[in-house]
Amino acid sequence: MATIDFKLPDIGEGVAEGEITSWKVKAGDVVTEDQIMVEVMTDKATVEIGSPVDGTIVELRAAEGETVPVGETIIVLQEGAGGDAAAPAASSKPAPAASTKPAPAASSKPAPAASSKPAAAAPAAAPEPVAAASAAGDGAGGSLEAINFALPDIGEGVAEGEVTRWMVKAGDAVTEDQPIVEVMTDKATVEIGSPVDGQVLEILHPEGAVVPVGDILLVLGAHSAAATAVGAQDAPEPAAEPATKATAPAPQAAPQPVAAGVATANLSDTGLSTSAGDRRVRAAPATRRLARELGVEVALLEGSGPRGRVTNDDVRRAQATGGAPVAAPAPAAAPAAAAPAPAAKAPRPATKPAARPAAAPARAAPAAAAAPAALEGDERIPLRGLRKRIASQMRLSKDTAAHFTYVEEIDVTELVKLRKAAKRKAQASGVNITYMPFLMKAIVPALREFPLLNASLDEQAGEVVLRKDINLGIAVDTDAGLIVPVVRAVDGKSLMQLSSEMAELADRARAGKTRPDDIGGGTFTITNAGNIGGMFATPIINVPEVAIIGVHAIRQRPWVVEGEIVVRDIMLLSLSLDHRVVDGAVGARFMNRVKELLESPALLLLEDI
Amino acid sequence: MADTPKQADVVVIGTGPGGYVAAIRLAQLGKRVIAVEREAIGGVCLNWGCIPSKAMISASTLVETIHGASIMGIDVKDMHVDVGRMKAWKDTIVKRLTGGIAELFKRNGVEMVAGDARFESADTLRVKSSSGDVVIKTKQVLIATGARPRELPNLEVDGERILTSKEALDLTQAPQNFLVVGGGIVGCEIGTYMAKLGSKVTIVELADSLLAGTDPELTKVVQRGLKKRKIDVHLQSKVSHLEHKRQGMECVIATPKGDVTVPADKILVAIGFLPNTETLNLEAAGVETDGRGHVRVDGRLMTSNPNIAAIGDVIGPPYLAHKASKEGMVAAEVLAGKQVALDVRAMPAAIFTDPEIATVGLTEEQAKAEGRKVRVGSFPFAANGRALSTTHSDGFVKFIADADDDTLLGCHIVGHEASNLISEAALAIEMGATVEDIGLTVHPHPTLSETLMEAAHVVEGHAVHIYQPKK
Repeated sequence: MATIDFKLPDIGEGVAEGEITSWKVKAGDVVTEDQIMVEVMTDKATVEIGSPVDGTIVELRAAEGETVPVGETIIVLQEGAGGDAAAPAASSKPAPAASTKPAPAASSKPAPAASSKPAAAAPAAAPEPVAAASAAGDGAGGSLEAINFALPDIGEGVAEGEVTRWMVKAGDAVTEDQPIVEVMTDKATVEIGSPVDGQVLEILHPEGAVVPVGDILLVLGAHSAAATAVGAQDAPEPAAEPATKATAPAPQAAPQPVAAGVATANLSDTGLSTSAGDRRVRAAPATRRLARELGVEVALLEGSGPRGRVTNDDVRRAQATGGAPVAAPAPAAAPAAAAPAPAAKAPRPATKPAARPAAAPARAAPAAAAAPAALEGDERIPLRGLRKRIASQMRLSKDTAAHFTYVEEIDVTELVKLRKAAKRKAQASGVNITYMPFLMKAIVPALREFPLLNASLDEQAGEVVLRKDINLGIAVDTDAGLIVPVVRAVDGKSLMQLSSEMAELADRARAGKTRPDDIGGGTFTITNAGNIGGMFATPIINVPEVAIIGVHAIRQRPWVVEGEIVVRDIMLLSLSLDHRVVDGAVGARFMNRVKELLESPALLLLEDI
Repeated sequence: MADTPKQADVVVIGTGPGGYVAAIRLAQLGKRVIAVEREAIGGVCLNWGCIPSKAMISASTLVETIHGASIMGIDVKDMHVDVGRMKAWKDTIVKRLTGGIAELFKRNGVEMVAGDARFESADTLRVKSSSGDVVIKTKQVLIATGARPRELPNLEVDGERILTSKEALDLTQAPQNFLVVGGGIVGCEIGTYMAKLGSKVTIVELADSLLAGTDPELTKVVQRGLKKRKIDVHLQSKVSHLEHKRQGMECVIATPKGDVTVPADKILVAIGFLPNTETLNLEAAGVETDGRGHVRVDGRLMTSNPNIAAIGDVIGPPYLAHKASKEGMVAAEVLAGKQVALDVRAMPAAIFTDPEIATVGLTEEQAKAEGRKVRVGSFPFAANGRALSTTHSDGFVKFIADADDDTLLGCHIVGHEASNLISEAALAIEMGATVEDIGLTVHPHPTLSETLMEAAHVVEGHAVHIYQPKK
């Protein structure tokens, strides 16, 4: 019976990582194929992931709250019913993926949170025994050894965290794994547990302080024995352990996340060597500056230049695809290796914070604007997840596409009648027919006639890519933000089919249950702003597409028909186009075609769609 | 006076090479900047450090060159050296440069407040000066207060006989007997130029080598230069006894070989630096320091207070003006909300001994300690035509390259104009250049810069101007 390393699947275009928001199974659980195992939040949507096989969960490799790159093993499954022994052992590789570098004892950075401890799991704590005698109690009661506890590496690409809440104060006794502080990063809020039994000697950062990874958060006094123990465990734990007790599906295979030397050395001594972590990346200073501005982790890029030199173009491309900081091959390995390496070398340890992009928001805004001046009573909401993704997509669109918007009035009086009739009919079979499928029906033949609007621009190649399929993205307003599920291969689908597909997609989006297949791969987008109000809007193109059509409210208006003023149902359509690809005349003709079909919906019958 | 506080976006405390650069950059970025200075605009670098010492070094070197010119057939008779006028000339240079900064402040709208700054709270500073107190309310602060020479308890600096570098540079006569306590950069530089001006110089160093932290291969060449100038060097030694006489002093130096008594008219104490933090009242601002008083900062030069940054000597060694300036640039942009960090792969350093030392990147030892396989090559100045034709044939260029991918990791130069040669290597390291790249770059003949190209060829095993046996 085979063991399966179940990796975080590619959940959608441009998605490079996901946050484990909720486990639906635990080690030892028997699962059936397609049974939901885990809920993962990406910057696009929250998705549920089902089991690929009937089997048993051997091990969960990531904790809730942890951000995992696509392709990294998150679950070890055993196919089939029971828990055959030998198998799991083979796959339960040591969490630290013990570095091949000659890393002295201090380098055994545990894989974050591979363990049984959901709460304290994510951060691999980083105690560093300090030679100096502790501030508190020497003498009676057993001496305490001071440990500088640094903000651990809480997740890939996370360079700093905000101390949101201290759960202890100086003088408090703490036990190992007891949550001591809550830290919010741009990815998630995590609770960090004490690495040892002991006492809090000193808290170095107040609530609200933003602390770079590797900077000392607090000084703990460890009971000497404990401190020694921590030290002793620095050596990579033999990970094969589960082999011996694998008769039952190995409960928690990975050794507990023992902390080890994340650098805590005094930054001021090493302020110079801020990029020891990426010393090996060939990139000119100006390129590194650009990368920092765009929030791209230069150390993770595969440079296109000689001997892997990273060019400005590489950085821009990485940023444009949105996956930059994490999309590089072996994303898991790279940062992990980067992190412990400096820690292992005493002279230049404190380098990491600077080596990483200091703050992720820059990803959303190239050449991030200066922070807005603070005003009394401001509330600050971290830019995260879907919001962050939207921010960067919209910025990218405005930065690349040459937008212009063409607006037309459509007399949809006939369509309103038709839809009323269709609605009554459809309701009988439980389908609610909106105007959207009619719009789709009208847009498809127009796109066939003007394929430039169903296209993308490949700037690198200097080519316009005409898409064969018509996959219509439908913008859906959700609590979390705008999501654009895609109705695929629209040609030939009936009104009823389109209606029900759309309803399903929209329902899932609103419930935060969008599936990987629901999003991405669109070729043209329809956005409906009409149900809220307004005359018309100028939509932003959903790059890499080149056109988007905005649908607006249908209102009764006085209309001149054959010399007489009559009341008609009028709707405005606004078509935003990327002028680099589509000229105004083409857009206008496209709009005329759509208008023709919507004003005389009977003509749709003539269309071979 | 202090009734209505001044308002600022950023207060820069200290106007040395870090602070003044940051203040101007902040002003360029649209900040309302107040710069506070308690001594002299320009800080140690411009007033009592880099610039004045280089003026005195170049003048004293000229003296030495003239003395040695007869080898080229140039005989100079009746040369008279007036150290007083030399010092006055040096002062004009200092004045010109510091005046330039004051002018730049004015043009950029940086306001100067003279006095000693002290935090009253994280956003309020009180500046004490002889003309009264000024209170400043500010959103952000940049600490650039630098460091000052450390003193020795048994050699109390009086500014007359026992000096720091500051007073030594202002001497108007070369002392007959000059004792330097501390064989670091400052001690070796000033000791050398005093010897060139005619002093009998003795250097006493506690450690077992001069210029601690420098590749010993390089230090050896400098030590030869000291010996040539009849400078006595006592390593692992210290001044154990000092007696003031009517004329000068008498010092007993405890050396490993026993006590040595030397006369001294002036004593220079140059044993290191202390950060200028204790009068700032940093606790009031929630700014942390390390055990030695250096302000602790992160990779973006921010202190434990998110509105306060610190740069330069006050955050710790190495104490380099150009490091402070670079940090000043970065910190200014960080404070202005830009997405930057201190991202420097290699910080060059120059020592103005004779010959000079200049280094950038890893030493051979450091590279190996990082677990790298290295290839090393050096090329002597003695095989360089230009070096010989300027009578400066001592020294060499040493490259440390990564054996796996040929990337230049470090460059160490001892020799004439080393300080002007190092930047090529610094650029190479920042660009991630390989040693091959340097070897393939044409270097003009006849120049000292050819030594870098040739050192690259040595690493690759095909040097032309020195013999390399085939492997």
